[in-house]
Amino acid sequence: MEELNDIISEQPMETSEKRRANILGYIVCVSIIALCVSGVYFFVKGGVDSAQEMWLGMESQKTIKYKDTDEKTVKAYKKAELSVGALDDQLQKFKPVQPYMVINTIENHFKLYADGNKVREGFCSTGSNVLLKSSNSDKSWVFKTPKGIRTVKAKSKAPVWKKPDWAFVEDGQPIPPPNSPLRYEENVLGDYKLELGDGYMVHGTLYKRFLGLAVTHGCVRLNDDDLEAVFMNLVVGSKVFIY
Amino acid sequence: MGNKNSKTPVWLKSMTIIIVVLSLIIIGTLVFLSAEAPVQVSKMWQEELKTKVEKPVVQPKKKKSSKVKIEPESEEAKVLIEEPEEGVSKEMRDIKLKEAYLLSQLTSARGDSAYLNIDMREQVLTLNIKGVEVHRVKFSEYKMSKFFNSLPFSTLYSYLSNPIIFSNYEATITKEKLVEKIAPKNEDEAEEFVMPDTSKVDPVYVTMVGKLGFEIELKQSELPASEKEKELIEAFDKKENKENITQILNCVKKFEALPFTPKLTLYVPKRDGEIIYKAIPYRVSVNLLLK
Repeated sequence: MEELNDIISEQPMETSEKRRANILGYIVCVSIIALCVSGVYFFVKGGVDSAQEMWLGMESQKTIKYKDTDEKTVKAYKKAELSVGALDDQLQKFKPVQPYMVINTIENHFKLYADGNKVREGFCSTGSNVLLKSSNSDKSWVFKTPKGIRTVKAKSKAPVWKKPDWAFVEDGQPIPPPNSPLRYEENVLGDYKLELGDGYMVHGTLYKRFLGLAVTHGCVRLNDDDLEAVFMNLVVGSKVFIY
Repeated sequence: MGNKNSKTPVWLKSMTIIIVVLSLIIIGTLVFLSAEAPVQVSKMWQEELKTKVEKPVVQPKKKKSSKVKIEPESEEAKVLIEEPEEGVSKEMRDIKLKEAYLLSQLTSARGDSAYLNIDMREQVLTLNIKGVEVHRVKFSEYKMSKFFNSLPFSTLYSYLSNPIIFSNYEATITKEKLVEKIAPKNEDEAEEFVMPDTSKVDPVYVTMVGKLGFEIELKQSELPASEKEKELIEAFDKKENKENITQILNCVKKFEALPFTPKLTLYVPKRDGEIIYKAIPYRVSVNLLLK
């Protein structure tokens, strides 16, 4: 009787233990599968680069300690030092001796340099990147400020604007003959202009609220004070770097 | 499992074993093939740059004059160092890398196009035109492949003493965005001026592929500001990942070394990234000074 009681009392214990072990077995198996699959997934997705970098880290370049006593090394080092100095001097020669201007067309910002120092900076307006297509003909114009280096070709005070064809096309007006008086307009370019070639200029503006924005037809517009400073500093032959 | 009383189904046990074995085989293969790739790329670089490395120019006998003048195109400037078998000292490595950087800059400065200088020592990226620095960006974070450290120094010197040309781009922003406008037919039709919105900037993720497969990535340091930005970045990354996975699977199929790309990732402010990307020409020279 006692034995029977023992069996009865032990059976449910054994069943629950088995069940627990089964569940544990499932969990362990599924975890291992998940771990392996995710291991492969992560390795393929991004781990290859890391693994490769790890191998590279193991065999990185051998370096030895610099010894003052090693005459050959000291000599080679000194020679390299001289070479670096000479190359640096060569590079310095590329810097303009004359004052120059740097124009950032993305931020519509300019910097003026003289004697290697920045003497002025401020906002400007540059090309709007508009492609204007004529409605009557196949002609088109791109209004963008050219990137690269330009040279100041000429400077003048109280400039008069000779309106190009696009100025009439843009306003829906008929294009007058090349020397028509209709093409000439005073007091729209400010007090000064600096010509950069191919019709591009640095000049003043009536639309000061647009300074800092890309709104022009390719010229660079400045406010009155900045224009005066640029005009006074830059000479014919000065470089204008546009990016 | 380990418990004697447990009765995990046999199918689960066998499946686990199969998956574990398969995973180990796959991971092992990937490890083997990935370890092989940088070695092969390194050999390829050495082979490509061999002609320059193998022929060290004989130094002309020094004249009594103490003034050292090195013309950038002179033979003396092209002299490559003879690498001692036991390696290069750190000091020597530093100064020779600086020399290579300056030599490379001189070549770029002679051209008319804008070019980039990347100084990993100062962590500065500059945009230059004709030897004049026009824009400077300080990057606080970067990732650089250890590949450069594993290269023989003479190969590295040879690679860095000339501008690295990049001519293949992929980016989340357009290089030159033109807004098309049809001119009015008459004065009545002349529209009011529409001001372009210049304040909006898409996320800046740029990948440039250069000489011998070297890649430079410019990534914005800011977190995406909107959901749209996040989506754009994810789409850009996803495209890259998809290409990588396809390449990896193809290589595993053929049991070839996995693709390896020496890479430099610079995290720059979004606005600067945009400025740099839009300013550089389609074929840009990059000069690199390593740490």
